[in-house]
Amino acid sequence: MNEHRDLLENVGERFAFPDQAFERLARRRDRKRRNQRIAAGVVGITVFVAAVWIVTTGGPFDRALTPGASVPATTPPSVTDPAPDVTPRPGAVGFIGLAPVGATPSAPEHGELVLSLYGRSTTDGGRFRAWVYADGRIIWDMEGDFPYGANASTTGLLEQHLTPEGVERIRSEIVSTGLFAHDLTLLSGRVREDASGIQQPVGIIWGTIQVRGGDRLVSVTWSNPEMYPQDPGIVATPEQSTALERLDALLTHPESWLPASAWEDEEITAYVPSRYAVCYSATDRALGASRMVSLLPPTAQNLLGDRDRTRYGASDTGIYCSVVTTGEARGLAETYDAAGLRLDDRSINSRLGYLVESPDLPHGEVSIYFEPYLPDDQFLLCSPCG
Amino acid sequence: MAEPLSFEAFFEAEARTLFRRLCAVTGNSAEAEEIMQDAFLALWERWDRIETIQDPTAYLYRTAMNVFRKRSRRATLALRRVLSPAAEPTPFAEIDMQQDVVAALAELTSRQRAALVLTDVMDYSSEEAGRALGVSAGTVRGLASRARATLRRQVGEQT
Repeated sequence: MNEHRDLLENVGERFAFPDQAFERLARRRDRKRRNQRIAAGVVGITVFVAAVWIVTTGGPFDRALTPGASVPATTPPSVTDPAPDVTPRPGAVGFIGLAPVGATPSAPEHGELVLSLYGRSTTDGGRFRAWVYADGRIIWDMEGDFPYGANASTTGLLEQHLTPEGVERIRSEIVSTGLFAHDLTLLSGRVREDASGIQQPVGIIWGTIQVRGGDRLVSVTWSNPEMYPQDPGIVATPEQSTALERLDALLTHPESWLPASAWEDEEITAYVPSRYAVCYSATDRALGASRMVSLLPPTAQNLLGDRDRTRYGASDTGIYCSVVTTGEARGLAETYDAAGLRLDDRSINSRLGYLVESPDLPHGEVSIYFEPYLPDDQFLLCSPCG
Repeated sequence: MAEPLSFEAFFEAEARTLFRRLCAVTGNSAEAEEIMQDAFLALWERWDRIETIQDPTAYLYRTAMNVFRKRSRRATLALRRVLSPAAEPTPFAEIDMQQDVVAALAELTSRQRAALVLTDVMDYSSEEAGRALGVSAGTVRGLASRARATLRRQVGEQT
């Protein structure tokens, strides 16, 4: 049977692999998302009005809530090309990479997570993540070009403050869908082809919401099986699909759907972490953590060699991460700069990372990057993802 | 269980092989790149939940084959609409057609080549290949069997 293996592999090798394949992939992603946002904008106004009505009035499902006094004005996301410009712009609030010197870390350092939202909404099309803490903090970021965003691609992590009632309002809003009795993974939605022949999602795209129930977080995950046919899950009932579409409308920047009364302080500030994860992984899967660290400049070897590290993965290969303070992270970045390590420009609009290239690494490089810690002691394993 | 890498590292590790195999399926580098990109983009969106994906490489290939299948279906429908055979690019036209094996591969349908790549190159069972291509295991066996027979005949005649 394998007489044809070499034949097929050899034929494939005759085609030239595209130059700058990753950069082309990233540009395709940006184009695709821009198209989704444009398409979402057409239907978004309707959904947005519905979402505002639901949240400010309690809508058809939460009659106990008092109507909100007003709804903060929202800034619709721009749909200009977000691809190349990653430089901070005047008026930017969010930032990418390490906190600016002198920035005050978010307080308190630790907080109990009440709920998290993560996904891509048909209302907007940009990926949205938010973490809501019992102390009222809502930390969030969103893809897209916003005046206060870190760059043309993303807001960076931002922070606002909710009242205790505001926190409970979001929580009860989510729980009232009836989906959060136990963990669920649901499939729902479909696609339609628009006039340009581009497939656009209908109903939902994908998302995950976790809500605290006692001492644990209950998780509901969903995706559109026509867009992600490999995703696991059970097919949602019509009632569940309707509930998911309500949740989908929440996957967009919070000032667009929370009433003024929910805010303790609506001012958007940058989220400044107290700690970072420094993570490293190699293209060559056989390369272990110690070997990767040994390729770093001596100062970094001294710091990371002795530091506890967590491995993400079942085998002894994968991503390794250690916790460092902001000061240590700055020291490491200065060391990498001084050693002439190349910035990893593949994901520079989402995180600060470097590439270690060496003659000892004939099959690729080691990437080493910083990810911010959140108040519930989790860090973002992959800022550019989603 | 997954062996997570950074997404960029995963791309570097897998992209060339996937592209090569998609070229063998489609016979066209532009189409292969688009399918490859769609498959990687789907996985990129899930990368921070990578530990919930048992085998990212298998997910990548299944997604790529699904994209290929959908594109083939759309292309067929478009062809029926416009009745223009010229709309379909000639497979393998961009590489040396004088080579006997390439000419032989061009004789196969893209579905036959896909079945062959999945079963003979990637060692998928007929059931696994069928799931990736959205057809039954029996159909995969039929496609692969006809493909092998054509290749043996064509290559045999020319050597």
